[in-house]
Amino acid sequence: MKSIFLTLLILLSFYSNAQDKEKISLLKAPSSPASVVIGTQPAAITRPKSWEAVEASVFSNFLNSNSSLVIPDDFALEVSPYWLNSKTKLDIEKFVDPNIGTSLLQNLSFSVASTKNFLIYDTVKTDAVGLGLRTMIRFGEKNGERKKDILKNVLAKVTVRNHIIKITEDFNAEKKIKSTKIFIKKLRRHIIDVGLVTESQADELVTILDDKSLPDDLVAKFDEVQDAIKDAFDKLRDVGGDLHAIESLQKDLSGFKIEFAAATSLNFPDHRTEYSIIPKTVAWITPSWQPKDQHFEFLGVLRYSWYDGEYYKKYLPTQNYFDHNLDFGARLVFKSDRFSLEGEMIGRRSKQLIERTVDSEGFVTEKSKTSGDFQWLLNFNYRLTESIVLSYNFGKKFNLVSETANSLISVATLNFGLGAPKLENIKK
Amino acid sequence: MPIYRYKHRRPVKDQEEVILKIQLLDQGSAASHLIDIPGPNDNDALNSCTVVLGRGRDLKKERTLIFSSPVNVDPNVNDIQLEFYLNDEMIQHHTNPKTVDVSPQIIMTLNFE
Repeated sequence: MKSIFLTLLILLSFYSNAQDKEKISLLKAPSSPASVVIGTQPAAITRPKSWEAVEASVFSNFLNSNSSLVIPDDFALEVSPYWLNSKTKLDIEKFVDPNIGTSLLQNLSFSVASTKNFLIYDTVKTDAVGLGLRTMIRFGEKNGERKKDILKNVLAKVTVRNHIIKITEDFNAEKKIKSTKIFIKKLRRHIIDVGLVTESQADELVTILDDKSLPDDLVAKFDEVQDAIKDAFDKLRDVGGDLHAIESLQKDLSGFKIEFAAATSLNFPDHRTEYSIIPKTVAWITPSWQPKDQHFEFLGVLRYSWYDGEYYKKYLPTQNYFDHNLDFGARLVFKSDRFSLEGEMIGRRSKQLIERTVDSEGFVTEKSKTSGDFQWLLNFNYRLTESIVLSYNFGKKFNLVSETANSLISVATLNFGLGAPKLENIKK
Repeated sequence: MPIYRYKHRRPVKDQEEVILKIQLLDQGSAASHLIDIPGPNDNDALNSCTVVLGRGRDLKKERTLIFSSPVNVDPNVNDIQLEFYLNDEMIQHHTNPKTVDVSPQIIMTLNFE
């Protein structure tokens, strides 16, 4: 009991240290840049599936009953033009094997967000709108050809199935055969003769149908027999397995990708839509790489922010700001069954123009303040037993956000897993 | 899984040309169709397609059968959906959850009169 208490204390001390650090994941390209730039977390993001729905959403939210422009509160909309165009949306070849240009268009989305709670002078609520876009490019899509081949195979199989089902319809329309057994025997011979299946495939199909113990009264139970033939064919040619294989490849996100995002905010400080200011614009670039074997992972971040100095001086005088702010960082992870090693670093460069003068001869003199800081962290985890993990963190955190003069991080922890309940205990 | 069977009865003038359109609705969808029109000329078609079935007087002789096998390979799409149109008028909307059948078989029977 004593040791568990001690471990909890150590864990808590590490947790408080971890809170001081800037998280690299917070610098990644966000899923809704428009919401991030105005500092909102909308309860729901509207993602219309047609241009008509986009139009309806914009008109119903931004126009009041007098057709005047209004700013809705807690609103977020994301539109992906590629998927709204039925011609591009339904191009199956490009869906399973997009080139770089198509990948960029498929992932391109525009976002709009708005709030009525954008604070100026620390307490005054005003209207604000965020406008953003994001996209992603995946490089080295190696599964494209494989997916196309499997899909071609699936379509060939279901084409054969269409023809077999048509033959069953034709035979039934003749109304000559009354027995299911004779019907299947005739079907077997016919689909071999017309080259839809090989003799061995036809035999397997019949074996699967025999196992189903179908009723022999074909006249009364034709639909049931036809359903069974469809199922037997799917089982024989494993159509479901092929489709599952393509979906699994679609979910595989390994490889190198770069995410881009940008957003700008628009504030209406005196509640009039005729008067607006752009306080902040942000751009993100997030490259990442994950190999198939899952042992390595790389994430890079680059975030550039522009601030309107005059706006901040006038409406947010208590906030510390810079005209330009650059955050950059990278994380590299190696994981194995027994241990993991993670290295992470984040840097920050900020610049603010203090004064700009032009003398009588046209020489421009600029006075600016700059600031920079850097943090890095190494994290090592070693699994001692199934439920005990030893962790060690070493690094340096930002001076800017540190409340104490000491920015060194050096923490070792021992984590005890209490474990999930065992099946036999639940049964008891 | 049971085959989805639909029937549609339609009056048609002798000289009227009838055009069938099969429209897939979701990204990641593909399909194979076999269109069995009266006479020896059956048509195989893929994905969303438009097929001229023929003049009313020929179509009245026998039923027309359409065998459709749609699939969807987008893990984010839950249903398989497609629509059948005759001369731009929707006659049937098909939908089935992928959890019920990932590769449904549809038989659409058209009777022209």
